Amino acid sequence: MLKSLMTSTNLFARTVAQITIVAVVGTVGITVASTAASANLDAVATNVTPQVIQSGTLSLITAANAGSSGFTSTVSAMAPGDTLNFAVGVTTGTMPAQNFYLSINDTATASTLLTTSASKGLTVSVTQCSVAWAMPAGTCSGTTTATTASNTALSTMNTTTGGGVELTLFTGTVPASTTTYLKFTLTLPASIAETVTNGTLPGGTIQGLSASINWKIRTTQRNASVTNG
Amino acid sequence: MSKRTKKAAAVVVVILNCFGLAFANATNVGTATNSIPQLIGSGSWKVVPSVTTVNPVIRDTAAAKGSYFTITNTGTLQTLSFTLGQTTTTTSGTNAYTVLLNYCRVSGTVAGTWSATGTCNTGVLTNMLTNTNASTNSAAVTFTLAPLATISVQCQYHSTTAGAPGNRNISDAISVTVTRANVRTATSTSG
Repeated sequence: MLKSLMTSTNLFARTVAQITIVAVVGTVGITVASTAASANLDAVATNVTPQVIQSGTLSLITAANAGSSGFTSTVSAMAPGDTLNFAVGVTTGTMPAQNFYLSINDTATASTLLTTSASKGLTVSVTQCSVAWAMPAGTCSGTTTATTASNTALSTMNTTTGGGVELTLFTGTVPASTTTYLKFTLTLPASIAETVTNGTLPGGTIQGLSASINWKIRTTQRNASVTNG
Repeated sequence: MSKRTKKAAAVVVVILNCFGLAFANATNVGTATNSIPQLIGSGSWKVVPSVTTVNPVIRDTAAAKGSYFTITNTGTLQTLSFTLGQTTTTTSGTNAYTVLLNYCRVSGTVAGTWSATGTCNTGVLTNMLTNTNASTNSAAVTFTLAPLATISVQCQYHSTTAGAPGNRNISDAISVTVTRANVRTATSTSG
């Protein structure tokens, strides 16, 4: 039959027969070739010492500066112009950080003018020292660097009431596992002038108020980098 | 490109953009907060008279030599001075008189006491303010009052009409005013 097809005078029939034979022979050839290839030996190379890859830890830990109670320091009965100085160290994790941001929450039952008034409320200045602050003297034996917090009203960074926003304390990269030394100066504005007659406080007074402040320092990871090893 | 193909391509682009934005916001953050809130309190300056009206004012010829009331610092801040005011009103009688507000001064921070007969037991009788007839007057009194400290004030009227025998009925409205300038100076605390 195959012979008759191959010798057929019908061109179409003869061509189909020829193509079919070529296809069958090709398939058989490929099968044989692949079977022979899988019979080869593999050669493998591995590194004896494992390549160590570690992800960094982005974290901030605050601790009171020596000689200061840090964020646990308290003050009562502030008069206008009074200041409270305290210092903290903020230590980064194993991942370099970038930029420090500062905000507060007033966790008192209800925020008072101390943390909601831009004119009468508390202000804060934050100064950076290259080494730990000498407290309680409040001096820096290294180099001081100002931050953007300079007599800044707490009301502007009080996120409890929804009116404040986070303050960018400073920008730039903070190396991993290093401590940033910050001194905070809280001030009740000296410009407050209230007159009290026969013990009756004026409306909207700043007197006799209290605040319970939770400070929040936030940082972000440094920019991603490419390392060629 | 068919209409259907174009629509499918647009959807894919939108989806990819969404993923792109999500990745951009995935920056890690580190945060530190103090677990125990920091407590901050403001002080108050309040100096209060025990009465705001003395009526009638006792004459200096009486056994007690006058009426008495106290002025107390009910605030939480030390005051260095205050403004004392009085408005005298004659409710009956026409003769001339003065009304004096006195206290016993031991020092600038210590006040003495009055005896039952109107004598300054310790210290020196010190006049703070004097009104003539019916008038309004005020004066600054320099005396340091710690929170809750009190001074006792003698309020008496004195006839200035020669030979005037009769009493007048006089009412005296008292006010004590304190401003920031009367309060202790600012201090710096390290905590």
